Amino acid sequence: MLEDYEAYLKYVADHPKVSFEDFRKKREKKPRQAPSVVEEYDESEEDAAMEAEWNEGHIHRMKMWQRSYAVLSVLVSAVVLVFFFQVSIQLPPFGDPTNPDLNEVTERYIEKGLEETGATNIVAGLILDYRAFDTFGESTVLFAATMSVILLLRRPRPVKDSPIPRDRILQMVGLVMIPAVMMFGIYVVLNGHLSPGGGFSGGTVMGCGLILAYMVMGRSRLEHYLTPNRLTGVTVACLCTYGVLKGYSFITGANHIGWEVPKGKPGAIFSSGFILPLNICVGIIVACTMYTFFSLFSERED
Amino acid sequence: MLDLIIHQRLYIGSIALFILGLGTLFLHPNLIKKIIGLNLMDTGSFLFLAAMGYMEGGQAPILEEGAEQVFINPVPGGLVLTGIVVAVSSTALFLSLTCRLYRRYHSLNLDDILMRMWSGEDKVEQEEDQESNPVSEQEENEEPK
Amino acid sequence: MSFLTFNIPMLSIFLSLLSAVICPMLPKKNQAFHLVRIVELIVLAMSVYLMVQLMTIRESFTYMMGHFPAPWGNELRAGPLEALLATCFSLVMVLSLTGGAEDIRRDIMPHRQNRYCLLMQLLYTAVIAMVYTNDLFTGYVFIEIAAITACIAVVAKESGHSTVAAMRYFIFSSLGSGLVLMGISILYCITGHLLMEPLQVAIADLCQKGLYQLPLTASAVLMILGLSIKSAQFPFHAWLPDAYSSGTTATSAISSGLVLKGYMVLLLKLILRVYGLGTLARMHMCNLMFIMGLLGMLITSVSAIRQENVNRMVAYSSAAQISYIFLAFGMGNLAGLAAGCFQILAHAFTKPMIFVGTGALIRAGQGRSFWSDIRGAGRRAPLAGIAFTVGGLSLCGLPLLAGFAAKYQLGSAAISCGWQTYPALFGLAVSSVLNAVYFIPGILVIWNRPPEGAVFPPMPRSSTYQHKISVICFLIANVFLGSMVGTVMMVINRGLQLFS
Repeated sequence: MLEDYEAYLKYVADHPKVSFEDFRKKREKKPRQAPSVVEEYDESEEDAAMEAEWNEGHIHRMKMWQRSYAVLSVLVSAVVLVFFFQVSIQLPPFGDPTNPDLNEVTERYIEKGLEETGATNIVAGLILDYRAFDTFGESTVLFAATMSVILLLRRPRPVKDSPIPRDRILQMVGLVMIPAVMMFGIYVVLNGHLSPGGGFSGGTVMGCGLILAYMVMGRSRLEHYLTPNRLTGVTVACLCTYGVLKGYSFITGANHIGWEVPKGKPGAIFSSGFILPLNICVGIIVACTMYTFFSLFSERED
Repeated sequence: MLDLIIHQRLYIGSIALFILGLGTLFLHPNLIKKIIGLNLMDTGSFLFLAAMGYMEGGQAPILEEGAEQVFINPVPGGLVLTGIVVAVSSTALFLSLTCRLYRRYHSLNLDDILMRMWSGEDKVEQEEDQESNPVSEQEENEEPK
Repeated sequence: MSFLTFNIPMLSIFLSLLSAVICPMLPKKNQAFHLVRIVELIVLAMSVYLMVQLMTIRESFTYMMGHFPAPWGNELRAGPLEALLATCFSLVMVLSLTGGAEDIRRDIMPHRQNRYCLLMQLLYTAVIAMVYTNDLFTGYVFIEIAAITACIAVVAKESGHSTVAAMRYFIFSSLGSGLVLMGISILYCITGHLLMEPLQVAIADLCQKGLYQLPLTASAVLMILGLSIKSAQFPFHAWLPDAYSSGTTATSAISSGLVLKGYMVLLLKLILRVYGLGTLARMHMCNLMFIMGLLGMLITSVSAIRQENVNRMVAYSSAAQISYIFLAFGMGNLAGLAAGCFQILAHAFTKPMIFVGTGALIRAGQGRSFWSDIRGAGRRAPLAGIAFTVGGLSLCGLPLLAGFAAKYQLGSAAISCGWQTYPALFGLAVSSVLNAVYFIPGILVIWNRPPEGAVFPPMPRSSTYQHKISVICFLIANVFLGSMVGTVMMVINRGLQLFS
């Protein structure tokens, strides 16, 4: 132990960023000099005894917990089930047009939605204009998840490339399918304010296209264009664009400055103000996220 | 009473799904089944929201020229969209944590993993996990002399 | 009101969010760390300015997020209380990051530090957004961000323990989010609103007509239980000790100082701005919270006594302190809510200080967090020892410190409520004694003579000045809160009056 510390002291002079823990782990892997047995022994025995005692208590408590837990949870679930059964019976009747959720809020969304947001798809107008802050938070959730998964799973050094799949059928079908899938995704994103769809659904379709490309072309060929850093960069750029556009409309809206973006002709592709660029940003973010998830999870397999 | 149950079947079903998922997420020791439970739970909430937004004879809220229509409530649609995105993110995170745990403990059973962690068996595995150690990763060539 | 004052809430959220987003693009790892702290300082300054402005003009305002007013678009709301909370949370965040800088450098791999800063900043944004939001669903979205980032921040320190702890944390956290989402859905189903002010009107209306009472109760139960699972309130605190003892110092400090408090602020909004105290009391929710708090503060304190590991002990103490907040909210009167707010602030300044001190003590001891390893560590790192001592004494209730003031406020609030008076006073007295039982031996251990022939690792030289600054600021803040109770309570009370 003592020698470890002395060696660490010398080592840390040249490598200030290495913590003692890491240093010791490393030395244990490749021992340079025989550790002094006596000192090491004393300390580790005491530690082990203390830790064992501590752990034993844990394990004992956990076993007791598990036993009581199963019974308790079933009981609790049963009670909760009965309670919620009552609740759902007493909820407003299903499908009734006089329900309390169809109030003046919904009415305005449906009646004035087109006029105020310029989008014929009311849901798009709702999530990207009326309640845009929620959607911004939602994109941030995706971004946070991507960053977390990268933090958890990415290896600092790239792994060996998985070979290009030999499956001819997959390759040929993929080559036909990829352009179609990508085109469909782009269509869904661009028409988000006019027809069912939008950034999230279209982005998922585009992400699937990218995943298909990954499977067909193999990792290295795709990563030649879509390096991990570029993907992160694109996501960050889209999120920033989203933030700036929405920040503009929040500030102008809240302070009653005016300067509204023209809504355009309803039903045209270039209409409804910021909704189209926002959909594009969201679509790109979602596609990058899907692809990143897939590539990180498949990296782990080999 | 039976009529009422049949009429409110979607609410009852969604809440049953929710509680099923909740129980699985909490009770089942297998991590993958926990993820399935999480997804069931989220699906229950989405079904609830979707059922709530429905209106007899209503159409999807996408305006078309000319036709005078009755539309369903658009708000639950937006909420479900947000919920789905959140659920996707949670699932991805859950899976990646599971990957990490599996790599270290070679088990998917959370109770098993906890037992092994507390009985100190993970020490050996940690040494095998040198790949992610910054020292050996980046300063391999600069051994202390 | 000037243009700047009016836009401060939105600017705080956007500034911190955008600064978080660009973190992974910064080329050097320290840049992200500095950027994050600079932005937090800017937000801190803006929040102080906002608080002073709002206190002089004595009003609060709502801020439309977009072109549409209350029941249609998202909204933020700012009053003196929100500004005060934002100020405190920003300060705690900066100080915790600064104080934990050395541990971040040691525990987290260099190529991950940028992303760690990003997650911390997102966490901070989420908490600030929870403070300012006026919309339940926005609250849910930011709860999710806070849950994801806090959980991954635990696992950023590479070890088997931290991964398992993060897994358990995440399971509990997803459960809590699920319950909150279901509660919001049921509430939306029976009222048709998501913003707090129309919700309050609609709920009052429903109560008057006697409609949908069971679903209303169900939604309240679901949301309160969901938030209590996420904030590690007593029956659901199983995840907390592992998560706090295995994360890096900054993570533990911020999780206990900010994240749990963020959920509590949301709960406060639910109580005052959505359901209203009267409705909740009629549904027996106040009693539920009171009993959970009372049991929690006793049982978690007893668990804390048994811990061999200093971090776990401090973590259990966090759970006990959260129970104080629940107890205060459960008293069912405005004085109780005000005392709860003060407890939020007092604990937000005390617990991160203890964690920052403990981190340095562990480094100065033998590198592990068992009591036997940090014996005598206070002599090697005096300032960290002082932080631990002052924090511990503050939680035990030494006069002139924040913890005492909080206990005093709780006690005086308890006197004016109904059947809760005697249980609350009893609980406060017993749990103060229990606090002393576990903190005072710890304080004695760290100032004790180190064991014979113990070998200590070298003390780091590089960034201890950051640690010193952080500890000194924490100490000042603690003494300030403890001695200037009147001023702080005035802001809180005015905020609460404008709240409902």
